[in-house]
Amino acid sequence: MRKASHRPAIALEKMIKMIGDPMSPKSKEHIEKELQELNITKPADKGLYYALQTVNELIRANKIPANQEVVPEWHEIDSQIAYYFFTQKAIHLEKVEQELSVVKQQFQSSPEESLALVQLEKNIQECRKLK
Amino acid sequence: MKNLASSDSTAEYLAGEQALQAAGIPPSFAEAASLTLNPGEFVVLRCSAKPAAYNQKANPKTGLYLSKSSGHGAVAAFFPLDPDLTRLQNNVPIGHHKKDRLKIEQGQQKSIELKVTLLDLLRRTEANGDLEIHAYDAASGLLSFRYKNGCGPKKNCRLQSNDPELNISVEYAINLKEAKDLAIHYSRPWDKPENLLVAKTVPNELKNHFNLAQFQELLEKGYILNYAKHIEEKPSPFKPVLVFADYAIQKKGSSSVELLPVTGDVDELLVGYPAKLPRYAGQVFQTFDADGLPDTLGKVRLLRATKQYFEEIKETYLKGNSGLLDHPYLNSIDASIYLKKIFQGTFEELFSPHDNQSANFALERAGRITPHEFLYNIITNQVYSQYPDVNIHNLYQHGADNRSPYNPSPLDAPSLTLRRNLLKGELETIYCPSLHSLLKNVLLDPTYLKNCCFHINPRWPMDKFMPVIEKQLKFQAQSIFPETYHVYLNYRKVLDFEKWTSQQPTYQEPSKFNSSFKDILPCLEVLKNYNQNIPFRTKELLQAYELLLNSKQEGHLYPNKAIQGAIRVFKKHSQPLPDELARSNTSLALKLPEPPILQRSSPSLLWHSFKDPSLPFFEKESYNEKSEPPPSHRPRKDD
Repeated sequence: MRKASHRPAIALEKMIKMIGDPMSPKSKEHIEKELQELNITKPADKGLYYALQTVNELIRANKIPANQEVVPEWHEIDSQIAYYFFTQKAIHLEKVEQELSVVKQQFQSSPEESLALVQLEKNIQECRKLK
Repeated sequence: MKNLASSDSTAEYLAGEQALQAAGIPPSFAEAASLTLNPGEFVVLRCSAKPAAYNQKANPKTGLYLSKSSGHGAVAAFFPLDPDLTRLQNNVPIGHHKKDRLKIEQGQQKSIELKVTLLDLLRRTEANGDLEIHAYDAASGLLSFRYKNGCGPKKNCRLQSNDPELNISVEYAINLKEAKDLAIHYSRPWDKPENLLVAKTVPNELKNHFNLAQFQELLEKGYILNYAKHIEEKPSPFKPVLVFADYAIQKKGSSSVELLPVTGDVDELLVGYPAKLPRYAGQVFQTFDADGLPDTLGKVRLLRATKQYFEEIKETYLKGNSGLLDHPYLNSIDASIYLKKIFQGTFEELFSPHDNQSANFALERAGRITPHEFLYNIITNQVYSQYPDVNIHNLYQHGADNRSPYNPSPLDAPSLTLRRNLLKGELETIYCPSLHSLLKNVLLDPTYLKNCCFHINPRWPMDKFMPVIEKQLKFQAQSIFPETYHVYLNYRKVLDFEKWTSQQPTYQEPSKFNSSFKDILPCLEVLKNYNQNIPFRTKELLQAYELLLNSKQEGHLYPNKAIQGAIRVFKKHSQPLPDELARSNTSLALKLPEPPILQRSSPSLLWHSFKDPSLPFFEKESYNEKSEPPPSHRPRKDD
């Protein structure tokens, strides 16, 4: 198994390429600034933050329709992950995994768009394993 | 009602238990919500509709529901699935918010049959209630209630444009022969049967069927609430009322899941804070952005600042009693009992979103909030959950209204102020039925203004809140929110302009102007962005100016009447013509073939237009066709 420190962060550009160009994504510089403020340095955590923000921006650009509206669960997922970044305890990610499976069904996204959510799920699993 | 100023009936207020009763707030919640206040500090709560049934378990409305709770009849403070039972505006139901409607249509909204007691319904038949008993059918056991005259939903709708309007009347009923299990907890002492007049007399409709003892036995039993919608007075069958429902907070280790009706939460209008609050604890953070999307960074910032604030208080608290009086959270007489446990623990224990057992003030629903307010809400919810008679937890669901970035809810609604007496530290409750009363009795009270800071939402009407800001500038300059101060300064400039225009005689020559409409245009832009009322004369000028701009944008030549009307307004308020008007004046002159007088230069044209009584803004008294204008108003010869 690769060491956590050697695991590369998932770049925003890569994700955007993978899921289609959202209309108004946060710039990489913007996200890097936020990561700096949050003091997120571990690649796995960075990847999780990128994935979270990418899904957020896809919703904003209506690339993920989410039943025409953003589902409440998405807000809760974001809160749980924010709390994870606050406490750095992976226990808070357990619930996120459960909620994300619900959200994936409710988002009714196309296979291409749901890749962003799958990617987010992978990042969550990765962060949990490493804790 | 108590009366502070006998000449001013609109400034009336209620105090003590009367205030709580009028607001419908449980005394235990008022106690919990005031526990952390220092003497001289206050919190103002908004009063929603008194719940039709509040002595049973329920979930408070969270920010996830965007519809308004119903405010009438047997469904008050609940969220009925039937749009005809939703909140009324001029007796017409407003329906659900589109997001909630979508959830209902897609079958995603959980719902439950609403259970009520006979006492719940009889309470609504009191003098200030909106229901009356309609009939009792002894054979079926059906006791029906209808709205009093002028109350309740009355929908006038046309199915096709040529159809007549249809009136819908609603009736409620319970079946006294079909009692259900219902656990009742009285969180409001005045609401117990022994304190209610309606519980002491058998209603006329039931007199032939029940004696007093039998009647009183029925009072606290649960019944499924039914309703019928009669269209054009044609009877329709009764069916159960379905209301929004959510799963209750699960106890740790418990596998049972309880679906409970959703009822109104308690909204804060503002949360006061001490002047010596650390700067970071008064900083505003947001947990979702302007698009309504989660703000991850904002949440982490808020959690970090709140934890720092919590740790700071904890350190002071654990040092012992000495010096505690200086701290905002530790000055309450009763504080030690409830707060000791909280401050012996960690911030994570107090606020733990992964652990549903604890009273949780959800991060995602907080909205715009300061660490001080965030902690205040979490602690209040936590303390309130420890009271034995509580059937609704987590009554605080989001940040206060004074932080809302959206259009504010109507302010001229009743409010309840929870205040610690400045001298004795006792809890004072003040029910104000109107904004005027709140301003006069609470927000403008100089004694308390010196001791308690609070922010004013920049979208609140500046014409009402300007005196408060001016007093804050005098006593607590640091408590003024920069955005609010910006709006205040612009409003004051507009007010000065308004005053100046009102003092000017008409027909002032442009060279004599001290203040110009053009100068205050940027101020008006600010006020419009914050939905502020613009004073009368300035508004007239603005409308004239906008009329002109709009006709220009549409690509038409300025219509004659629009120009003349606009010119008239500017002249009336002694304002030089804006560039657009001055230019249009020339083009108009070229465009119009007759009469010859219109082809003359602008002041004559203006004077001519003033004499036309068919045009708007004509002032008959000032401008008599037969008389000459006063010398000061006479057009200059060289023009």
